Amino acid sequence: MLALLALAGVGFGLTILLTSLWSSPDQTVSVGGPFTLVDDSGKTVSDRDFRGKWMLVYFGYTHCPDACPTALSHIDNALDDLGPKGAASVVPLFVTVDPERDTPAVLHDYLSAFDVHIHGLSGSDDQIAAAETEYRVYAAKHPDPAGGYSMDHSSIIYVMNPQGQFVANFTHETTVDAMVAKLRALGA
Amino acid sequence: MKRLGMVAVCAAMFAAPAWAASVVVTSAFARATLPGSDTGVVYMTLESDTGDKLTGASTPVAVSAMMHKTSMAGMVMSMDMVSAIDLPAGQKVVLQPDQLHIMLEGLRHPLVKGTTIPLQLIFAKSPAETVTVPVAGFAAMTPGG
Repeated sequence: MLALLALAGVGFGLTILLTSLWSSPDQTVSVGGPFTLVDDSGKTVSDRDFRGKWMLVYFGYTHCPDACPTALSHIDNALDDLGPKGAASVVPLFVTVDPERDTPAVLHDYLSAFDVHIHGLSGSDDQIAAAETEYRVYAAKHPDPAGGYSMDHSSIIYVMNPQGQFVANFTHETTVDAMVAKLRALGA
Repeated sequence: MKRLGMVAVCAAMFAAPAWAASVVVTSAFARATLPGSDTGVVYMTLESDTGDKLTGASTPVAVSAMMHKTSMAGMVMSMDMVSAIDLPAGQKVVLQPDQLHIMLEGLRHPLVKGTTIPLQLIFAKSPAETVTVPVAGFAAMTPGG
Protein backbone atom coordinates (compact mmCIF):
# COMPACT_ATOMS: atom_id res chain seq x y z
CA MET A 1 0.00 0.00 0.00
CA LEU A 2 2.80 2.33 0.99
CA ALA A 3 4.69 1.46 -2.14
CA LEU A 4 1.55 2.10 -4.16
CA LEU A 5 1.14 5.50 -2.51
CA ALA A 6 4.78 6.34 -3.19
CA LEU A 7 4.32 5.28 -6.79
CA ALA A 8 1.23 7.46 -7.05
CA GLY A 9 3.25 10.34 -5.63
CA VAL A 10 5.97 9.88 -8.20
CA GLY A 11 3.33 9.58 -10.91
CA PHE A 12 1.72 12.79 -9.77
CA GLY A 13 5.05 14.64 -9.72
CA LEU A 14 5.87 13.34 -13.17
CA THR A 15 2.43 14.39 -14.43
CA ILE A 16 3.08 17.92 -13.21
CA LEU A 17 6.44 17.90 -14.98
CA LEU A 18 4.92 16.47 -18.11
CA THR A 19 2.05 18.89 -18.30
CA SER A 20 4.48 21.73 -17.86
CA LEU A 21 6.65 20.44 -20.66
CA TRP A 22 4.27 18.77 -23.09
CA SER A 23 0.75 19.34 -24.20
CA SER A 24 -0.06 15.62 -24.40
CA PRO A 25 1.01 13.81 -21.23
CA ASP A 26 -0.13 10.42 -22.59
CA GLN A 27 2.98 10.07 -24.70
CA THR A 28 5.91 7.99 -23.53
CA VAL A 29 8.33 9.93 -21.37
CA SER A 30 11.35 10.82 -23.38
CA VAL A 31 13.53 13.71 -22.33
CA GLY A 32 16.95 14.04 -23.79
CA GLY A 33 18.44 12.14 -26.65
CA PRO A 34 21.16 12.32 -29.24
CA PHE A 35 22.89 15.63 -29.79
CA THR A 36 25.88 16.83 -31.75
CA LEU A 37 27.32 20.09 -30.48
CA VAL A 38 30.61 21.97 -30.30
CA ASP A 39 32.36 22.04 -26.93
CA ASP A 40 34.15 25.04 -25.47
CA SER A 41 37.48 23.87 -26.88
CA GLY A 42 35.98 23.96 -30.37
CA LYS A 43 35.69 20.16 -30.71
CA THR A 44 32.54 18.51 -32.04
CA VAL A 45 31.04 16.23 -29.38
CA SER A 46 27.96 14.06 -29.15
CA ASP A 47 25.92 12.58 -26.30
CA ARG A 48 27.80 9.29 -26.83
CA ASP A 49 31.04 10.93 -25.67
CA PHE A 50 29.52 11.22 -22.19
CA ARG A 51 28.12 7.68 -21.97
CA GLY A 52 29.11 5.88 -18.76
CA LYS A 53 28.85 9.12 -16.75
CA TRP A 54 25.93 10.87 -15.14
CA MET A 55 25.15 14.05 -17.02
CA LEU A 56 23.74 17.21 -15.45
CA VAL A 57 22.40 19.15 -18.41
CA TYR A 58 21.46 22.81 -18.07
CA PHE A 59 20.39 25.09 -20.90
CA GLY A 60 21.10 28.80 -20.40
CA TYR A 61 23.17 31.67 -21.77
CA THR A 62 26.01 33.87 -20.58
CA HIS A 63 24.13 37.19 -20.80
CA CYS A 64 21.74 35.90 -18.14
CA PRO A 65 22.71 37.51 -14.82
CA ASP A 66 19.90 36.19 -12.66
CA ALA A 67 19.01 32.47 -12.91
CA CYS A 68 21.96 30.99 -14.85
CA PRO A 69 24.80 31.89 -12.45
CA THR A 70 22.63 30.56 -9.61
CA ALA A 71 22.04 27.24 -11.39
CA LEU A 72 25.70 26.83 -12.38
CA SER A 73 26.89 27.78 -8.92
CA HIS A 74 24.56 25.17 -7.38
CA ILE A 75 25.91 22.52 -9.76
CA ASP A 76 29.46 23.61 -8.91
CA ASN A 77 28.84 23.39 -5.16
CA ALA A 78 26.89 20.13 -5.39
CA LEU A 79 29.71 18.40 -7.26
CA ASP A 80 32.17 19.77 -4.76
CA ASP A 81 30.07 18.32 -1.92
CA LEU A 82 29.80 14.95 -3.69
CA GLY A 83 33.55 14.57 -3.33
CA PRO A 84 36.08 13.02 -5.70
CA LYS A 85 33.88 10.02 -6.56
CA GLY A 86 31.03 12.30 -7.58
CA ALA A 87 33.28 14.63 -9.48
CA ALA A 88 34.60 11.65 -11.42
CA SER A 89 31.20 10.14 -12.22
CA VAL A 90 29.15 13.28 -12.98
CA VAL A 91 29.66 15.52 -16.00
CA PRO A 92 27.97 18.93 -15.92
CA LEU A 93 27.01 20.37 -19.30
CA PHE A 94 26.00 23.98 -19.96
CA VAL A 95 24.26 24.16 -23.33
CA THR A 96 23.76 27.68 -24.64
CA VAL A 97 20.37 28.76 -25.97
CA ASP A 98 22.12 31.82 -27.43
CA PRO A 99 24.73 30.47 -29.90
CA GLU A 100 24.81 33.87 -31.64
CA ARG A 101 26.69 35.41 -28.70
CA ASP A 102 27.92 32.31 -26.89
CA THR A 103 30.68 30.99 -29.09
CA PRO A 104 32.86 28.14 -27.76
CA ALA A 105 35.52 30.71 -26.76
CA VAL A 106 33.00 32.87 -24.86
CA LEU A 107 31.69 29.79 -23.03
CA HIS A 108 35.20 28.62 -22.20
CA ASP A 109 36.09 31.97 -20.65
CA TYR A 110 32.77 32.20 -18.76
CA LEU A 111 32.99 28.71 -17.27
CA SER A 112 36.60 29.14 -16.16
CA ALA A 113 35.25 30.88 -13.03
CA PHE A 114 33.83 27.61 -11.66
CA ASP A 115 35.78 25.14 -9.54
CA VAL A 116 34.48 22.08 -11.31
CA HIS A 117 34.88 21.56 -15.03
CA ILE A 118 31.54 22.49 -16.54
CA HIS A 119 31.54 21.63 -20.25
CA GLY A 120 30.23 24.51 -22.34
CA LEU A 121 28.35 23.44 -25.45
CA SER A 122 27.53 25.68 -28.39
CA GLY A 123 27.00 24.92 -32.06
CA SER A 124 25.15 26.05 -35.15
CA ASP A 125 21.58 27.31 -34.79
CA ASP A 126 20.37 23.96 -36.18
CA GLN A 127 22.50 21.93 -33.76
CA ILE A 128 21.25 23.95 -30.78
CA ALA A 129 17.65 23.76 -31.99
CA ALA A 130 17.94 19.98 -32.32
CA ALA A 131 19.31 19.64 -28.77
CA GLU A 132 16.55 21.89 -27.44
CA THR A 133 13.96 19.70 -29.14
CA GLU A 134 15.45 16.50 -27.69
CA TYR A 135 15.40 18.00 -24.19
CA ARG A 136 11.98 19.65 -24.62
CA VAL A 137 13.60 23.00 -23.90
CA TYR A 138 11.76 26.18 -24.67
CA ALA A 139 13.99 29.08 -25.70
CA ALA A 140 13.10 32.28 -27.55
CA LYS A 141 14.67 35.63 -28.18
CA HIS A 142 13.06 38.41 -26.16
CA PRO A 143 13.98 41.82 -27.64
CA ASP A 144 14.35 44.69 -25.18
CA PRO A 145 13.53 48.32 -25.98
CA ALA A 146 17.22 49.28 -25.80
CA GLY A 147 17.90 47.22 -28.93
CA GLY A 148 19.43 44.21 -27.19
CA TYR A 149 17.76 40.97 -26.24
CA SER A 150 17.47 38.46 -23.47
CA MET A 151 16.46 34.83 -23.89
CA ASP A 152 13.33 33.35 -22.39
CA HIS A 153 14.25 29.78 -21.55
CA SER A 154 13.33 26.74 -19.49
CA SER A 155 15.43 26.73 -16.35
CA ILE A 156 15.79 23.01 -15.71
CA ILE A 157 18.80 20.91 -14.71
CA TYR A 158 18.28 17.46 -16.23
CA VAL A 159 19.85 14.44 -14.55
CA MET A 160 20.71 11.77 -17.11
CA ASN A 161 21.97 8.34 -16.01
CA PRO A 162 25.14 6.69 -17.39
CA GLN A 163 22.99 5.10 -20.13
CA GLY A 164 21.93 8.58 -21.23
CA GLN A 165 18.36 8.28 -19.91
CA PHE A 166 16.47 11.00 -18.08
CA VAL A 167 15.99 10.12 -14.39
CA ALA A 168 15.36 13.37 -12.51
CA ASN A 169 15.35 17.11 -12.79
CA PHE A 170 16.22 20.13 -10.68
CA THR A 171 15.65 23.84 -11.22
CA HIS A 172 17.95 26.73 -10.34
CA GLU A 173 15.90 27.03 -7.15
CA THR A 174 16.79 23.50 -5.95
CA THR A 175 19.18 23.80 -3.00
CA VAL A 176 22.66 22.35 -3.15
CA ASP A 177 21.84 19.94 -0.29
CA ALA A 178 18.76 18.65 -2.09
CA MET A 179 20.77 18.11 -5.28
CA VAL A 180 23.50 16.24 -3.42
CA ALA A 181 20.97 14.05 -1.59
CA LYS A 182 19.17 13.17 -4.83
CA LEU A 183 22.39 12.42 -6.73
CA ARG A 184 23.61 10.19 -3.87
CA ALA A 185 20.25 8.39 -3.73
CA LEU A 186 20.51 7.73 -7.46
CA GLY A 187 23.97 6.27 -6.94
CA ALA A 188 26.03 9.00 -8.60
CA MET B 1 15.90 89.07 14.07
CA LYS B 2 19.10 88.32 12.28
CA ARG B 3 19.77 85.50 14.74
CA LEU B 4 16.29 84.14 14.30
CA GLY B 5 16.86 84.12 10.54
CA MET B 6 20.05 82.08 11.00
CA VAL B 7 18.20 79.59 13.19
CA ALA B 8 15.56 79.23 10.55
CA VAL B 9 18.20 78.58 7.89
CA CYS B 10 19.93 76.00 10.09
CA ALA B 11 16.64 74.31 10.88
CA ALA B 12 15.85 74.15 7.18
CA MET B 13 19.28 72.66 6.46
CA PHE B 14 18.89 69.98 9.08
CA ALA B 15 15.32 69.29 8.10
CA ALA B 16 16.17 68.98 4.43
CA PRO B 17 17.40 65.37 4.36
CA ALA B 18 14.29 64.15 6.17
CA TRP B 19 11.96 65.17 3.37
CA ALA B 20 14.40 65.26 0.49
CA ALA B 21 15.46 61.64 0.74
CA SER B 22 12.25 59.93 1.59
CA VAL B 23 13.23 56.64 -0.08
CA VAL B 24 15.51 54.56 2.11
CA VAL B 25 17.75 52.11 0.27
CA THR B 26 19.18 49.16 2.21
CA SER B 27 20.88 45.82 1.47
CA ALA B 28 21.98 46.89 -2.00
CA PHE B 29 24.41 44.54 -3.74
CA ALA B 30 25.55 43.69 -7.23
CA ARG B 31 26.66 40.26 -8.41
CA ALA B 32 30.22 39.91 -9.63
CA THR B 33 30.31 39.23 -13.36
CA LEU B 34 31.59 35.97 -14.79
CA PRO B 35 34.48 36.21 -17.25
CA GLY B 36 33.52 37.74 -20.58
CA SER B 37 30.04 38.79 -19.46
CA ASP B 38 29.13 42.45 -19.90
CA THR B 39 25.79 42.07 -18.13
CA GLY B 40 25.39 42.81 -14.44
CA VAL B 41 22.62 42.79 -11.90
CA VAL B 42 21.84 44.85 -8.79
CA TYR B 43 19.42 43.97 -5.98
CA MET B 44 18.26 46.12 -3.04
CA THR B 45 15.47 46.91 -0.61
CA LEU B 46 13.58 50.20 -1.05
CA GLU B 47 11.20 51.88 1.34
CA SER B 48 9.37 55.18 0.98
CA ASP B 49 7.49 56.73 3.93
CA THR B 50 5.16 58.68 1.72
CA GLY B 51 4.83 56.48 -1.35
CA ASP B 52 6.87 56.90 -4.52
CA LYS B 53 7.99 55.15 -7.68
CA LEU B 54 11.44 54.12 -8.84
CA THR B 55 11.43 55.33 -12.43
CA GLY B 56 15.00 54.88 -13.54
CA ALA B 57 18.62 54.14 -12.71
CA SER B 58 22.01 54.90 -14.16
CA THR B 59 25.63 54.14 -13.44
CA PRO B 60 28.86 55.31 -15.04
CA VAL B 61 30.04 51.67 -15.20
CA ALA B 62 27.40 50.53 -17.72
CA VAL B 63 25.77 51.79 -20.92
CA SER B 64 22.32 51.20 -19.47
CA ALA B 65 20.64 50.28 -16.21
CA MET B 66 17.12 48.99 -16.63
CA MET B 67 14.54 47.65 -14.25
CA HIS B 68 13.60 44.07 -15.03
CA LYS B 69 11.21 41.55 -13.66
CA THR B 70 12.03 37.88 -13.91
CA SER B 71 9.01 35.64 -14.03
CA MET B 72 8.56 31.91 -14.21
CA ALA B 73 5.74 30.36 -16.21
CA GLY B 74 5.98 26.69 -15.30
CA MET B 75 9.71 26.14 -15.66
CA VAL B 76 10.22 28.78 -18.32
CA MET B 77 11.98 31.87 -17.13
CA SER B 78 11.58 35.21 -18.83
CA MET B 79 12.70 38.75 -18.16
CA ASP B 80 10.65 41.81 -18.91
CA MET B 81 11.60 45.44 -18.66
CA VAL B 82 9.39 47.44 -16.33
CA SER B 83 9.06 51.22 -16.69
CA ALA B 84 8.65 51.86 -12.96
CA ILE B 85 8.62 50.03 -9.64
CA ASP B 86 5.86 51.12 -7.32
CA LEU B 87 6.92 51.92 -3.74
CA PRO B 88 3.76 51.98 -1.60
CA ALA B 89 4.04 54.16 1.52
CA GLY B 90 5.72 52.41 4.43
CA GLN B 91 6.23 49.11 2.58
CA LYS B 92 9.56 47.47 1.91
CA VAL B 93 9.95 46.57 -1.74
CA VAL B 94 12.64 43.95 -2.25
CA LEU B 95 14.57 43.58 -5.49
CA GLN B 96 15.96 40.04 -5.29
CA PRO B 97 17.07 37.09 -7.42
CA ASP B 98 14.31 35.61 -9.62
CA GLN B 99 12.10 38.64 -9.09
CA LEU B 100 12.80 42.32 -9.60
CA HIS B 101 16.30 43.53 -10.37
CA ILE B 102 18.21 46.34 -12.01
CA MET B 103 20.04 44.96 -15.00
CA LEU B 104 23.26 46.64 -16.10
CA GLU B 105 23.96 46.20 -19.78
CA GLY B 106 27.12 47.08 -21.62
CA LEU B 107 29.40 47.08 -18.56
CA ARG B 108 32.52 49.14 -19.15
CA HIS B 109 34.52 46.88 -16.86
CA PRO B 110 33.91 43.59 -15.03
CA LEU B 111 32.26 43.79 -11.61
CA VAL B 112 34.75 42.41 -9.12
CA LYS B 113 33.73 40.98 -5.74
CA GLY B 114 34.81 43.24 -2.88
CA THR B 115 34.64 46.46 -4.92
CA THR B 116 31.77 48.95 -5.12
CA ILE B 117 29.94 50.74 -7.91
CA PRO B 118 27.91 53.97 -7.78
CA LEU B 119 24.28 53.70 -8.85
CA GLN B 120 21.96 56.65 -9.26
CA LEU B 121 18.29 55.99 -8.58
CA ILE B 122 15.61 58.25 -10.03
CA PHE B 123 12.25 58.56 -8.32
CA ALA B 124 8.94 60.08 -9.39
CA LYS B 125 8.74 62.39 -6.35
CA SER B 126 11.90 62.18 -4.24
CA PRO B 127 15.14 63.66 -5.53
CA ALA B 128 17.57 61.29 -7.23
CA GLU B 129 19.86 59.38 -4.88
CA THR B 130 23.26 57.90 -5.57
CA VAL B 131 23.97 54.73 -3.64
CA THR B 132 27.27 52.92 -3.28
CA VAL B 133 26.64 49.30 -4.19
CA PRO B 134 29.02 46.60 -2.95
CA VAL B 135 29.82 43.78 -5.37
CA ALA B 136 29.19 40.31 -3.88
CA GLY B 137 29.79 36.84 -5.36
CA PHE B 138 28.52 35.99 -8.86
CA ALA B 139 25.68 33.85 -7.53
CA ALA B 140 25.06 35.83 -4.31
CA MET B 141 21.48 35.74 -3.05
CA THR B 142 22.15 38.31 -0.27
CA PRO B 143 24.70 41.14 0.17
CA GLY B 144 26.94 38.78 2.15
CA GLY B 145 26.38 35.77 -0.10
